[in-house]
Amino acid sequence: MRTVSFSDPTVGNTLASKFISTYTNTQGTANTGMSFSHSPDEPPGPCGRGAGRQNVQTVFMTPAGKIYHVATGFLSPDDLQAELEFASQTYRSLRQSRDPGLRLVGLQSERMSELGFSPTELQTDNLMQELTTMFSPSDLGIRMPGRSPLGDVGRNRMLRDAKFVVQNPLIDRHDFEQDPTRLVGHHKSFFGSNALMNGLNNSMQRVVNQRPIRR
Amino acid sequence: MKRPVRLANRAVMAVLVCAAIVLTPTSAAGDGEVLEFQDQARCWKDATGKFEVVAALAKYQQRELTLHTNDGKSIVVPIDRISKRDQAYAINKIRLARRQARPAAAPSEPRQPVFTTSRRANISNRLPKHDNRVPNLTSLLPKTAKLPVNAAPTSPQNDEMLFGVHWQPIDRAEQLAAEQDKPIMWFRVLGDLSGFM
Repeated sequence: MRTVSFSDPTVGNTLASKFISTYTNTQGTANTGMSFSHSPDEPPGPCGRGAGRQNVQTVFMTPAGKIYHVATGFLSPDDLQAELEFASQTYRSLRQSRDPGLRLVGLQSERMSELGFSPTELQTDNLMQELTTMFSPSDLGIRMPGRSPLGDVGRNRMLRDAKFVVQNPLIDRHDFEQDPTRLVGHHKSFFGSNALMNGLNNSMQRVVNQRPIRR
Repeated sequence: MKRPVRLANRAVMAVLVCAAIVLTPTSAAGDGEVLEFQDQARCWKDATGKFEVVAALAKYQQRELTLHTNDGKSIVVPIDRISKRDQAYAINKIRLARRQARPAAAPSEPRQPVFTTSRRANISNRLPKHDNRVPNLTSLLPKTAKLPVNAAPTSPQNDEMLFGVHWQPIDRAEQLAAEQDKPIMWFRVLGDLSGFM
């Protein structure tokens, strides 16, 4: 994301003019998974929206540290720009609202509706969606032609992000940091072994590196 | 008999030296990408972390950076002699400069769905061979660069510019956001944003 999305001039201008930016290295926390360990100069691997959500989260907060929007996993420049625009507009709306928490739930629901999600999807948990949210081939560097047999991973992760905000409106960042697994799950509980995933990731990375990236 | 042999050896050596003198500037010019920057002064550290200097990045040429200090001095340093963090900063600047120097692309065709049956046969010809958005700059890094074992977690200690974005320490970000009435974009990431991740 750093070499593709943050380096995009439009994204850079939006961040500079409308946001204060900060970052945290989440190494060692319970939610983080494995990384392909690439340096800033290396070309990006095959990434779809939401890939690597346990290792990358874009969180939007008020100046008081209240979280009002999240986007987990990889975001392309266009996706990140769209998230920034939504986050900027939402912040302005929340400032003018007498009940920001309620307003936030309304705004998130409206957005999901505009994006084609049904109110039922936002309110209920679907097993297949949860499975797709937890695991995606793109997390392993696999770029699948067309849709995954489990469904659209990026779409389901957007849904999961919105659900987190709706279920935890304006959660304080310190409370969130106590247990970030509420947003992205616990890495070890699903994959069982970091060592196993590390070996698999390394093998996949070798395969990916041997092929030119085609987009 | 020995004298003509020595003369011949000297003649060969002279030819070789002349050839080297003539050919060296030509081959250097062939590789000679020169990028100039209008950058702000910042603190640069060497790979050992022992030496640092406040200077502005002025030029990149043949894997060497030219830095201008505030008192008007120019410092030329190989890019692989500076710290990883500063390498990342410089590489990002180089990449942005190359992107700006690239001629504007012709308006592209509207995007069409990929891997539909009608276009499947021609898709390999239509797809770009490489991702043009991010050029491969691996050659700029020292070959010995490896993921540091048990690297300490890092976060910005001061305002730092990485990948075109100013990053603040999180407490400072909250303070600035309150002063400027702006929301905070908090990027949570596994790894060092300026190094391996």
